[in-house]
Amino acid sequence: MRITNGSIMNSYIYNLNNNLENMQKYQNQLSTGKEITRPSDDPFLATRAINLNTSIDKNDQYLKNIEDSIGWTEMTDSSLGNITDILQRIRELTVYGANGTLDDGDIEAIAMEVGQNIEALAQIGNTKYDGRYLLAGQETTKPPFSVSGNTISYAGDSGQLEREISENVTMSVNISGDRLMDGETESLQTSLKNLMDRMETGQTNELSSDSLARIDEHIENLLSLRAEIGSKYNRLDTAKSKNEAESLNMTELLSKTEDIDIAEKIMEFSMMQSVYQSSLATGAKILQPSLLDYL
Amino acid sequence: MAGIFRTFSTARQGMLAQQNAVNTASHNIANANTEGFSRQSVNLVTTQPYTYAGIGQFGTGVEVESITRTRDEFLDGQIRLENAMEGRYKAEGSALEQVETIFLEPSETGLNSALDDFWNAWQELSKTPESSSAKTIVAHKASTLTETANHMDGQLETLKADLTSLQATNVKDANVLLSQINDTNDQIARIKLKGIEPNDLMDRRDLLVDQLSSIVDIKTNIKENGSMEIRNRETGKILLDSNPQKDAEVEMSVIKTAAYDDAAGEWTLNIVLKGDSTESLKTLTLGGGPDEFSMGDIILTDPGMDWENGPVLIEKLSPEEGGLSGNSNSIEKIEEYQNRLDLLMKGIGQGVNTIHGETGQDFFAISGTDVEFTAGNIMVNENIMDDVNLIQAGQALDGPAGDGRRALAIAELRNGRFDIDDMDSEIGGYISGEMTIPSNDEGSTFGGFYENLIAVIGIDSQDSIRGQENQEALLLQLNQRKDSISGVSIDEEVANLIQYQTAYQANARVMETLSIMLDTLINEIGV
Repeated sequence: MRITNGSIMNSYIYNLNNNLENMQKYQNQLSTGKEITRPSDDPFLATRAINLNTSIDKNDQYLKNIEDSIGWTEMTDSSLGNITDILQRIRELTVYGANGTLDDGDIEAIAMEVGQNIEALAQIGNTKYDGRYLLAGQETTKPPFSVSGNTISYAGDSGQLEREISENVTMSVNISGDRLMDGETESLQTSLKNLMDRMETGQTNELSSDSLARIDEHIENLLSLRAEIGSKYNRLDTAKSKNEAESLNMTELLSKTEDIDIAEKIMEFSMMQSVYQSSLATGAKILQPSLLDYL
Repeated sequence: MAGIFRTFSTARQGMLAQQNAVNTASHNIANANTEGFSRQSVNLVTTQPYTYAGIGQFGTGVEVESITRTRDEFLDGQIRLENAMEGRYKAEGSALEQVETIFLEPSETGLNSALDDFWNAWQELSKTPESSSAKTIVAHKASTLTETANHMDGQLETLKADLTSLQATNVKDANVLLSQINDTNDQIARIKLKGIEPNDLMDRRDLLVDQLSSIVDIKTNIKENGSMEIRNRETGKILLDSNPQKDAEVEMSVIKTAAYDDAAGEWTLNIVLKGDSTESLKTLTLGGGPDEFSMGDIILTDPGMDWENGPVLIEKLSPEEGGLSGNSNSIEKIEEYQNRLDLLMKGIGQGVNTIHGETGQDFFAISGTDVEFTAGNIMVNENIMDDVNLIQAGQALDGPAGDGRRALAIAELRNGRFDIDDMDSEIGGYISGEMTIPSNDEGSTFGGFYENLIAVIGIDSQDSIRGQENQEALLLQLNQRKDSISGVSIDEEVANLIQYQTAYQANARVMETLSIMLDTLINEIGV
């Protein structure tokens, strides 16, 4: 083939340009730390990176939901624990009150303490978490429990608070106050009102024959509610570990998908650099001379 | 017998021929770097011999028969075809690169992350439906989403308008090249009449045709008079008539906007005549024919056309290759991307409105007079932007403050699979009690639909980049071959120069010898 000065020049410039383009590619990858910066670099990797980013983002949101829910259930559990303690104290006071040897002053003092405990019960029933009433069902902005005279009443609803804890998995995280009020035989409201009435009128027999059993039923009810909240907590805790493991996995996968292997890239870059330098060096030698140099 | 004076003449012709050869070598060297130049060579032949009866023929010397250029016209055709393909890939590549910049994926600031933030805001609201700050965040994330979509749509519109302007510039260039080729045709035909090869003019014409070939795919045909006829390669439509004396029969123009009126069966076209953007647009109404017109299309018009009154000759030119085809393809592709983006935003708009609007107001609204959601017109209902408490988080209107189930139902749209091409029928299946639009296993999620769009853009762009790289490599090889045939080699020319110089000297020596011979004859034999 006949080779002319022009063709040497053209192929030289073409190759030099290619080398420079490759250098730029590696340089870009090294400075961004990413294998791809636009979809055309690798459409498959690009969409995979978008997909993983979205999945990680979604998982982060679920983690937030789970953590909020864990806070909610922990607070619910401790409130239910306090309420159980109060009911235990009321039970003790009922046992004292049922003792027929007490005089009027003593029974009055016991009744007064029971009354204070009922107030405390309502107060704990109105515990807030993150500014919202914990035991109010969905009526989270209104205090659910109130006491008037000897009567404790519940103004919330039985609504459930649903949280999405992973894709398409939702669970209710609350115990609504009406379930505290319900009893096997009668409501907590009735039991406490009867208890107070009996103390105030000295019906010691009824205290021991009926009230004590009713309070026991309510304590039993609370224990089962605490077991329920405990199982919610466990479920959330498991979901959290699973969520974190998934996020870790996906983050690793994302890194494998879009991050460069720095050592490998630097090797490739230096190889490209020496190719570029040698092409410059040969160019300087081959482009200069012509027959004229030797005449 | 050959007389001394005859031999003088032979030597003189020899010197003249070598001088011409030196001149041609010098012309070659001078044009070693001239684009489109083909090396020329002097073809020397012996002059008519002199027959001497009984002895034979005496040579009478040398003459320049012709000066020809060295060119492979078949290769020219190949290069022009590949040029046209490269032109198409280049135009597509540069447009799609801009599309990729508009979509800006993968990144933390693209539509995808705006979409993620939007769904997450509904999740947060589902957990704290009492809080008006959660509602404010939903409203603002939603407006970030709609503004991102609006902005992208606007940028894509601008890009299409830019491509139409570029198309006009290319058409203008093509028209200029065609008219220059027409002029060159004229000059070549005139010189050819005299039986002379107009080498430099032919080089110039070939260069113009090479330049034209990257704008539009062409085939050429050289007529007997030496002038060149140019047709569109794919369709065979004539672009330049081979009769240079005549005015051009067609000129190319670009459609800026095209609208079809179904009722009247008429096209209304706004045309950049001859691609000259400085001229005002021509408007043309055209009865519906087989051709469909869209933005950036090329039409062939009659230069003598009466724009006010018609009748008109108008024909659509759909080049397969070349920059013109690349620009048209790009506009078409961008419209496809816009269409997908419209479907995505329409799906989200309808999905959210179906759930939210059941008890409350529509969450998303359409700006302007359109009736369907598009990426360009979707916005958050202004009433909601004014009063975020209009956002319905709970199942029932005015239900308990802590009920976030409706917000959760909206957030879960993110995981639902829908036939996003036909969201109208999907929302028809809305189950009011469950606040859900049933998921369709054959559909895709909104996120998946968008990823798919990004994949399509990536693949389209990658194709054009690869095509461009391949064409560059191929053209390098073809041009190397062309150069090995037509290119000037300085070494070769210098060697030739030395050869001609030596021959010139030898001829001069012959003259000197003849001169001595004459001197002998005159001074030593004469009186």
